[in-house]
Parts: sequence; C-alpha cells; structure tokens
Amino acid sequence: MREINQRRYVLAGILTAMVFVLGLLLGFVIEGKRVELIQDASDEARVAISSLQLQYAFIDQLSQVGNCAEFMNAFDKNVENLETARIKLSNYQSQATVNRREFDLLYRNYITSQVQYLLLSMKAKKLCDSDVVNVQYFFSKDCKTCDDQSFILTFLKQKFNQRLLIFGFDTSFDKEPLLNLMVRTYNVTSFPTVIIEDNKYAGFMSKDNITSTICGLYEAAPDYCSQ
Amino acid sequence: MFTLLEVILFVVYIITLYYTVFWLIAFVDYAPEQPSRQRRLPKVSVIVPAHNEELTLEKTCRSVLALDYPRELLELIIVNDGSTDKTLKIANSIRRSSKRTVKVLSQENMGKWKAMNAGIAASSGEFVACLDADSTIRNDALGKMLPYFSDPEMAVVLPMLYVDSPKNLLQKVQWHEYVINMFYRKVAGFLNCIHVAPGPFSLYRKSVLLEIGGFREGFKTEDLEICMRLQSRHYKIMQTTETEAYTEAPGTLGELYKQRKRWNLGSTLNILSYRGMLFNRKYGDFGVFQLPIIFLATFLASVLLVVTAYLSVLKPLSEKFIQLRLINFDIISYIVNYHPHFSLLDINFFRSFVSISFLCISISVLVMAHRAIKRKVVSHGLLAAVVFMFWYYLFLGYVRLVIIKDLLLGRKNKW
Repeated sequence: MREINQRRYVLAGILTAMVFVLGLLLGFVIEGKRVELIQDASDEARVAISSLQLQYAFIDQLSQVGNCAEFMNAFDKNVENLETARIKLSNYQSQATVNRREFDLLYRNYITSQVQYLLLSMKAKKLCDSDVVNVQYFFSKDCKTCDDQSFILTFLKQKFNQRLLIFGFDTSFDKEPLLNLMVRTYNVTSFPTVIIEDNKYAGFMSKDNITSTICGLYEAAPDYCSQ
Repeated sequence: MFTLLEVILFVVYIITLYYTVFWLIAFVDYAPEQPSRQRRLPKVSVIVPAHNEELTLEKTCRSVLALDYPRELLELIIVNDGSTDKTLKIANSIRRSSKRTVKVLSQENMGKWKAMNAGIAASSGEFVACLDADSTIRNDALGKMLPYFSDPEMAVVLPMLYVDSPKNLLQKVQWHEYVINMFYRKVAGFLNCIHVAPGPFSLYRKSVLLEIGGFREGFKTEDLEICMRLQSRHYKIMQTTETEAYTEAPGTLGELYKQRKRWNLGSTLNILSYRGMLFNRKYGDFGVFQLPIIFLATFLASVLLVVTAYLSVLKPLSEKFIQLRLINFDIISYIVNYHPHFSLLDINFFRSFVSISFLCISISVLVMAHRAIKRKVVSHGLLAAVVFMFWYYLFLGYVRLVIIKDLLLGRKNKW
C-alpha cells in the first residue's frame, strides 16, 4: 500500500474552488457594469422620447412642418439606438445570474419606450406626411426562423435607412402586460410575424418578398427598390 | 442560463484546472532525491534495437561508446530486428572497430519488444539501458543515473529527453513539448507516478526486468506497458534532471500523426488492460490521480477540440453562410453597411474567463518548464512557442478524437 498525501488533494481542491469563486465574483462585477450600462442607455432613451414628444407637440401646435425633416431624422436615430440597446439588453439578460430582476425591469422599460416611439411615429407620419414605412416585428426565442428574419430586417434597415422604421418585440418576455396587449391587438399567433404598416404577415418572409412589399408602400420609392 | 455545451466545457475546465493545480502544488513540494554515492561501479549493458536504421545507427552507437564509464564495465548490444537496409553491416563494422565490448545479434523482424528481450538475454550487465537507434546520450549519463539505484525499490531511471537539433517548425514545436513533458515527468517521478519509460536511454535494473518477465508487446508501446507492470508491483521509476538524451523528432505532420496515434492508442489500451489500478488507493497517487487523468485526457482533449471547433469555427461560419444566403450573398452591401455596436461588456464572460485562466496557466507552466532547464521560451523562435501554445494541442486533440473513433470501431494499433 502506497502513501497518499491527502493535503495535496485538499489544497488543490481549495485552490480550484478559489479560482472558481474568483471567476464568479468577476462575473458579478461584470454583470453589475452591464446593468449600469443599460440603465444609462435607458435613461437616455427616456430623455430622448420626452424630447421627441415635445418636438412633435411644438411642430403640431405651431404648424412648424418645415422642421419635420429634422424631427424625423432625430426620430430615426433614436429608434435605431433603442433597438441596439434592446439587443444588448436581451443578450445580457440571457446571461444574467444575480441581476435578473434588474434586467427584467430594464427590459420592461425598453418595451414601453418602444411602444411610445411606435405611437409617436404613427402620429408624426401623418403630421409630417413623411414617406416612411413602419414595421413591427414580433418574434420569440423558441422560434427557429426568427434569427434569420431579424437578420433580413436589419439588412433592409441598413439599405432603406431613414425610410424604414423597425420596432422589434420579443414576445418570449412575459413580464410586461403591454406586450401581451399588442400581441392580442394584432392577433399574433405564430412567429415570426411582421406587420408592415397595417398588413400582417405571419411566418418567415424572404428578403425579396419583404422588399417588394415595403417598396410598394412608398410614394416615391428609394433607389434600392429599383435595384 | 447555460447551454449544454457550456456545462460540458465547465466540467472539462474544472477537471483540467484541478489537475493543473495539483501538479503545481506537487512542483512546489518537489524535493530532488539525493542519491547516495556508489561503493562500486556495476556492469551495464546498453541495448540498441534497430530496424532499418542505417542513417542513424552509427551516431547512436558512437554516443554509447563515448560514455564516460570503465571499458570493462560497459557492453553495447546491437539487435538487428530484420533490417532490409545496411543496418547489420554498419553494426558489424562498429563491433570490429570498437575497443569496447560490442555484441551484434540478428533476428527476423519481430518488433522492438522481442529485440529488447533478446538483448537482455544476451546481456551480462547488472543494469540494462535501452537506447532507440535514432537517439543519442550525453557521456556523463551512467555516472549521473546509476547512483539512484542505491534505493533497492528503484527499477528504472530516466534521463531528460530533448529533440535533437530541431530544424523545421514542427520539430521546434515538439522541442517545447518535450521540455513541458520533462517538467511534468520530473514532478511525476517525485510522486512515483511515471507511466512511460521512453526508448532513449531508460536505465533498468536487470534483476527486476527478469523478475517481471521482460518486455511485452503492449499494443506497440512496450515502454508504456512495462511501466504499468512495474507500477502494479510498486517499483519506483524516476526522472533525473542531471543528464540528457537526444532523439530525432518527426519532421512532417504525417509522421507525427502516426507516432502520436500509436502512443496515445497504446496508452489508452494499456490503461484498460490494467484497469484494476484505476482509482485504486493501493497504488497511491498513480492509481488515484495519474492513471485516471491519463485515461481521461483522451476524452477531455477530444471534447475540448470538438466544443472549441464547434463554438469558434463551425457555428459562426455556418451561421454567417446561412445569413449571407438569406440576402442572396449581397456581401458588398453587407460589409459596407455593417456597423457593429460592440463593447467589452458584450463578450461572453464565462468563455472568456475560462480561456484567459487557461492561457495564464499555460504560459506559467511554459515559463517554469523552460526556466527549470535554464532555457528561454523563445530559444527556438517566437513562432514555435506560439504554435505550441495555441495550435499544437488542437492537433493532439484531433489525434485523440481519431483514437476514440478507432476504439469504437475496434481498429487495432499499427506501426
């Protein structure tokens, strides 16, 4: 029978556990930083929506339609920033361990901001008579073709630029009643579902299909429509 | 929260981390054995088994004949194992020209293990060294190695082993691998956990070899099988750092693949043959720690390779391909309009932490191993060190993956 130095085995276990705990602690620190980052972006989005609502009221009440172009430009930029932050938030939320509640609250905040933007865009479109197409995109994390649909919509947003506004709604998040209300309102039963202006398209839409649908809605179609 | 792959990666990570930490603790505890001085010099027989070794045999034998050891106490036995080239002619020429005792035996091609046993039967030494015909030894080897046999339980003593004059990148990469292996074996010797006595100048106590019945075929890895047998009988095997042997390393990827496949498959099959020792406290650290890890290494390396290849290469590439197909491969538009919104916080923390901690541990081990032999990590160029660190183990992981496939398909080891 040979001797076994148990001290080495125990010490190795303790040191391994220490590295593991160090990793966990660093993970918590990073998660805290992520919450801070998203919180900042959320605060910015809140300020931006208030500013846009005031700009809209200003243009509406004082009939300043000449300022519409600038307003729509700022609007588009803010919607894009909001969507970028939402993607980050969704990514952080899926990796969250201790701050799940904070992330859930932030996500609710984003959904309400998105809906505010959506409603404002509908009103602004009428007021400014802007040749912009609104797209609402409902997706779910369990849906197999949703990532592909997201990729196509992101690609088209880059192509149409300010002439296309996209509002993405992740229906797997069930903690915001407003989201359920929207799903019921548009009678969304399968994913992905794309609502282009008032028309609902359930199921995956190819790039060509979605492009021709969007292009058909412009009064003056962008160059990309003729390519 | 975690995907299945991340859980697998996590388990592999914890096992590997524990294993590495254990070895580092053993390294800190390491206290080199101080052998007592010999009262008398014993007779030593050096056996050189040779099969078609006309290019290297002379150099190998010259290094034996140049050993700093009394003429009457050293004999060289060259065993020609059915060579079809000029090996036998060169062996006879060495015998004729040497002032030392040189015996030349010749047999049909029956394998190295039978050649070794023939050499042992013909030997008159109290100690027997095996020297592969493509290796050489430093002339102080016997003087440095023999004193360790003052311990009656000592069965084998191994010298440090280096790649002889590495020329191309692959050989330089292997030079680093050998340095790491020596470092590891030094600590393994301290724990009496050595599981292989490589061909280049492992020095055996002949009475022990005879007692255990000499070499066996051992799935074409007789040097591994004999260590398993010695460990099963509680003999000691130790690695000295005081002298060096040099061996030729494969110069092409194909040769290296063949060699490593044979070694790793032999290792796995031999452990399976001695599975009674696995997790058996009777065999100390060797049974409880070393054997399970060597056995698991094949699977751990394969899992790591598959997971890394999938997560880092296959998955992103296939996703990108599918995405580009969705936009009719309008790659130019995609690149022109691509605006990544990236921040450091977006990095997957778990994978990054695992990668960075492994990298830190690997660099530390690499530096410590080279410092132990007073060589710089970049002594054979930075490229060789980088390739060794980042790609070489992926290659070994691939070899192990093939081994698992062969084991599942029931294929046997080939030369």
